[in-house]
Amino acid sequence: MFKENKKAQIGETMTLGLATLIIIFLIIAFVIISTFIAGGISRGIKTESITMSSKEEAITSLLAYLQTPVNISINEKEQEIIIADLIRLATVNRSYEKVLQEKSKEILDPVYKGKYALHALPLEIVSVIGRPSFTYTLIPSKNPINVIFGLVKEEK
Amino acid sequence: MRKKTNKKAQIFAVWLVLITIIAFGYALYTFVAISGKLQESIGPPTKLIDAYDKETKLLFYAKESARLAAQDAFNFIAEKKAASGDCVIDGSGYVGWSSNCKPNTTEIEENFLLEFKKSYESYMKDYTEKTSYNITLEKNNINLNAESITLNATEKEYNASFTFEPSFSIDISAFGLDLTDFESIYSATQNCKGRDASKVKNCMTEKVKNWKIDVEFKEPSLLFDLTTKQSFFFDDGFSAIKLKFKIKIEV
Repeated sequence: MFKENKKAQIGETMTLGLATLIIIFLIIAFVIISTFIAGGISRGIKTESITMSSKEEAITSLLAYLQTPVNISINEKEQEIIIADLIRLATVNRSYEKVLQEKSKEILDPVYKGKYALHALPLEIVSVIGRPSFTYTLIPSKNPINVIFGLVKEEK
Repeated sequence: MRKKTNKKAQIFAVWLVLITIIAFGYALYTFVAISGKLQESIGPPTKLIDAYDKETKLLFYAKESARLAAQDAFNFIAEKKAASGDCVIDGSGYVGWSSNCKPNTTEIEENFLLEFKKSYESYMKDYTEKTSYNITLEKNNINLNAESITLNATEKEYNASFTFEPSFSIDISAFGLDLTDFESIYSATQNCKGRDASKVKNCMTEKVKNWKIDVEFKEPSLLFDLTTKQSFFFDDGFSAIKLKFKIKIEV
């Protein structure tokens, strides 16, 4: 009788112990898996938002750049004009191409540190080595000019 | 009795484990199954952002077109429609201003608006997104009221559209143009009379602000060559707007 009770107690204790261990193991496993999956999702969201913000940034920067006032000498007279006008001028008078390049670098280099490309067809204002993601806009003229601006994405 | 309790405890423990496994398994399955959809649904609304970009670019293009069209129209007025009435132009392009041929701001505004509309449409015709504008003029303010544009921004299973009105107004006096200048210039000529061209020039310069004035006396008239202090971009580059007229000296 005494022997039988002892065996039963050992079995019972082992069953409860094993059950407790399994539950603890499942809880730990679930926490680890959840953390892993949640981490994956948040990483995905972050990547997307960076991609979109660089495109948005390029458009905002391009329009702001086109409306930036600069002082240049026209017909031997200093005058303040906006970059969009300087681009128009450079497309009809190529002697202003160099002025356009210099002024563009003055505006954009402090912000993008050379990691951008800029074209106003047929002018190549600034080009870079790399694979920039481009955006564009038109500026009105007798023949509208397509201005293309690209930012080189930072390597992750 | 004791045996019974032990058996119940064992059954309870087994069921507890089984229920826990099922509950965790179901939760895990649900979590994995929806995680893909969750990622999709909170992803960036690309087409909506694209539609917003189109609005920004259109507004920029339209405002720039309006600025250029205003310059073109003002240049047209200065060259051809500054004065109205019984006007005669000589071989050198000087319009003879007199009490029968003089600037009238109301007529200038009407002609300016007609020319502005023509020029604005010629710039906008090249743009992809088409919209029609109701254009009005109030002193030096041009109001461009646009019809609303709706762009499709549907993304996968989510239906969306983006509606905007690219309306705006521009004040031409902000870039040194004023439609009342022509009447003011005529008034100045009436207050600055005489055969001495340099005296007339000095007198006119005090009264007329936006223009650089040159006066020459050529019997029997004073020839006036006015150019805007500001240069503007036209098709072939930057140049000032010119206004040429003459006034006969009464003896």
